[in-house]
Amino acid sequence: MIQIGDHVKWSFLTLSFNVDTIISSIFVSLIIVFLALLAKIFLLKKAKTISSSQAFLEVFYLFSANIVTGVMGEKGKKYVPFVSTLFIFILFSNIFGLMPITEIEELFFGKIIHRIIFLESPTYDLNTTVALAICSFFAVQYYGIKANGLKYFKRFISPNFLFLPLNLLEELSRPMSLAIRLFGNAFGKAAILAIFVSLVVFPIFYPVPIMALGLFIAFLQAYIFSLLTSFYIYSAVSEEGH
Amino acid sequence: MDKILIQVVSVVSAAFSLAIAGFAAANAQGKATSSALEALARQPEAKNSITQALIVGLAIIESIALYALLIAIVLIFANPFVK
Repeated sequence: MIQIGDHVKWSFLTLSFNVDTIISSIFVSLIIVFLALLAKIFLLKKAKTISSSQAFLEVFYLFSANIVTGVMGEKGKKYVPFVSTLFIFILFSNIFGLMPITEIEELFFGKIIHRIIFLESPTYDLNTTVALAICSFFAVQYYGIKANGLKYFKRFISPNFLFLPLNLLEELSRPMSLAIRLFGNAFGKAAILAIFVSLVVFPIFYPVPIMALGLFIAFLQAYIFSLLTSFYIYSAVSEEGH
Repeated sequence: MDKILIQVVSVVSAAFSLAIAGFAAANAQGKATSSALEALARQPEAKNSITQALIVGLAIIESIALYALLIAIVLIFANPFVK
C-alpha cells in the first residue's frame, strides 16, 4: 500500500537515481525562482502605499530572517541567506507534497480500497533530507572555521582531549537527526493520509483535516530545521565553543 | 518456517518499539510543555525566548521517537535478517 523505496528508479553507470524526486525538486526550485523573479520585478523598494502582496512578502521575509537573528542577534545577519534558503526550500517542498493529483482503486488483502496519489514531495525521499542535512553540516564547519580560524577545532577537545570521541559523536549525530526528523515527519504524514483515505469508499472531503495538519507539520518542520541549523552555526562561531 | 518466524518477530518488535518510544516521548514532551507554560505564566514578557527553547527541546525529544520509527521501518521494509 505504502512503501518506503517506492520511487521510480533510473540507473546510470552503476548509480541509481530516484527520478521522481529529482523532477519534483527541480519543479520546486523552478516555482521558488519564478516567485522570486515576480517579487523582484513587481515589488517596490520605496512604495508610498503598500499593496497586500508586498505586505505579505515583507512579513514573510522578516519571519525567515528572524530565525537567525532571533538566535544570535544582529551579527547573525550574514547567515540569513543560507538559513532562509533552507527554510523556503523545505517549506515549499513540504507543501508541494500535499497536492492531490489523481485517485486509483487498488486491491489490498482482497478488498478494493481507494488511494489518492499526491504529488511526490522531495522531502519524502531520505536522499533529499540527507543532502540538506549534509549541506547544513558543512556550512556549520565552514562558518566556524571562517569565524574562529584554527581555534575552531579546539571545541572538539574541550574540556580536554579525552572528550574527543564524545564531541565527534555529538557533531556527527546532528545531521543524522536533522535528516531523520524531516524524513520521518514527511513519511508519517504520507502514511496517515494513505491510511485515512483507504478507510472510506469515496474520499473527497474526508482527508481535508489531515491535510490541514500536514500543512502545519510542513511549516513546523521547515522552521525547526532552519532554527536548529542556526543554533549549530551559533555554537560554532561563538568564541567559547559551546 | 524459520523465515516466517523471523518476520513475525520483527513485525511485533517494530510495533512494540514504536509504542514504547512513543509513550516515553509523549511523556517527556508533556513535561516540557507544562513547565514551559508555567514559566510563561510566571514571566509573560519572556515569551519569545521560552517559545524558542521549547520548540528546540521538543524537536530534540521528538528525534527519539523518530529513531524508533527508523528502526521499525528498517525491520518491516528492509529487514537485514530476511534475505
